[in-house]
Amino acid sequence: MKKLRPNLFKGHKYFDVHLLGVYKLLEPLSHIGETRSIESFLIRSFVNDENMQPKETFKYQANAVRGAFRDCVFIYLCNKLNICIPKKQFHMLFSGGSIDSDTKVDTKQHDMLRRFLPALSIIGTATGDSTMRGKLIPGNLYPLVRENQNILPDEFRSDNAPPFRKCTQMYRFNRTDDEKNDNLRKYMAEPDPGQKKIAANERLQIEGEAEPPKEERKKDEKAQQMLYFIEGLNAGTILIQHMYLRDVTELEIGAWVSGWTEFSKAPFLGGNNGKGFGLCAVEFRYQNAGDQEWLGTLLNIGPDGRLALSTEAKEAKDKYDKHLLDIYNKFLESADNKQRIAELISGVTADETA
Amino acid sequence: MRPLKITAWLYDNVVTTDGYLPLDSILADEYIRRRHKDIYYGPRIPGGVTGDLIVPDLPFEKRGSGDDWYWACSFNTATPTMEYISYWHKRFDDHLSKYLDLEGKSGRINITSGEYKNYRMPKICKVYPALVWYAVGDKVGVEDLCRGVVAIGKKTSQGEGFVKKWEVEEIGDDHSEIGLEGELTRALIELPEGAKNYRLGCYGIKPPYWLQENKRVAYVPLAKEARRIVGSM
Repeated sequence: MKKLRPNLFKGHKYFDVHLLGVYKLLEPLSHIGETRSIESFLIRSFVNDENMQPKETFKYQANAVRGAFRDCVFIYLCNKLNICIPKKQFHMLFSGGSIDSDTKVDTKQHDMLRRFLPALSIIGTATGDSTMRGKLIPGNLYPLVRENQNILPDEFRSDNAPPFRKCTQMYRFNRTDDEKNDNLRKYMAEPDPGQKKIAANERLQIEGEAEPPKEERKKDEKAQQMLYFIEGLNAGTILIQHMYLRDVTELEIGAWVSGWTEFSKAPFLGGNNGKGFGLCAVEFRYQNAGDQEWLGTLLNIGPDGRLALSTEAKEAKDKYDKHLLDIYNKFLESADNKQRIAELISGVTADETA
Repeated sequence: MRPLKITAWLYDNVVTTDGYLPLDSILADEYIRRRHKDIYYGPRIPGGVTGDLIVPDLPFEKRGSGDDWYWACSFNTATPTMEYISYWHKRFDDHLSKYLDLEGKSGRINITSGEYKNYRMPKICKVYPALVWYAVGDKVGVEDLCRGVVAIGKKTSQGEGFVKKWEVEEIGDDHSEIGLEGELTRALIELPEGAKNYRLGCYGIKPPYWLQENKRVAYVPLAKEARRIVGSM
């Protein structure tokens, strides 16, 4: 069986992996770019067609995948280690961190942090007075539509691909005012008459001397009923994504797999997941970056939500899980672990993990 | 060393303001990634160099003298077909707050200032069919380094600037300093005879272009305006 080919650098094995993600939408996809009144539209973008002219189309932005993936890898880590994280370190993991000129992080601490948290090493962050370069380079997700033909891999091209606008539709939603529903109104508490305050102009109205001002009437009657529309990319559409993992160790590949393992528990892309948008199936093929030949499927999340890992992915994830278990056993078994985990994530305790 | 034309065919756009995208800088980055991984993946201090400055041995002809040397490689010479503004967002995900240890302090997260501030930041996206550079160098060496470059420009971690295919071809004339229509194609201290479309400015003459020590008062090509500019997307 063909496997990933390592490059050796100073005695360490590194892999350059090119992944091709194939996403199939099982529900429509919402990725809003602009909202006008009660209508929200998919974000628009441009690609070059075969005549090298820019064409308006849609792409699901890589930064959205990256953000969701970042959450997944660190949720997996927190669940495995059974920890909550202090505010500063939480920001470093889940939000990308920030530059803080007061704290110096030297090369040794930086290197330790990469080895201690392989997930952070692939995603990247900012800590102390410097940034940590991520090893993951995700591409945008392009649907198989006519406008995108020029940039799709050969096997996904088709002369019969529909134009982008035929792959979208406006989905209508209602929000009803349940106060007006006779069956539900009986569960609404009546205001206590003793507590009711009568405004001056209301008293005048009772006395028949004035109409309440229009503004006040509007304020009292807040609109509850609503009709609105969300543009979505149709269910059944397939999207393609190139993704690169550069100079990653086996543990870092394991961390990448762990992120998709977490994603498989709720495989949703985009927004409005609570309204039935975004459910998807996904498959990642892999190859040594620069090669022509695909080695197979690294992992697959099927339409039933089931995760299937290749042997190589499973081995990498098992090693990553063992790494996390080692951290737990070494540092976190005792009850007083808050300070420890903060120090570990900040890269302060370099010597103990070396 | 032969005159070369190097083309990077793109998926869609590159995030850049001036569109210069010097190829010697792009290949210097790839050179360091391959040969100095510990430095490449080490701490990156904004506006500074960590450790000693690595001067890569690129497969281009070296020109100039003393500290004013530079690589015989042009800036990008292609004109963008379109320019638009896209946005990236940062926000605090409150559904993740169960993983947050407040250490007995207030549970309030300030999203209007400080590190948890929400952001909507613009990216200037320029759509090019391809980026084109001219150089004098070793074709095989340039091809080899180009193969490792998967994305160009800013925000490559957000999917911008992905390269679909590289092409390196030998050509008859050297256009690394003066282009096909007589325009200046890279920053130079001395203006070549007959050069057009330039301005005088303070600019880097070799990678890293942002480094103050590499900046000189130099003649710089005029940035090319996109044929069509649309607003925010």
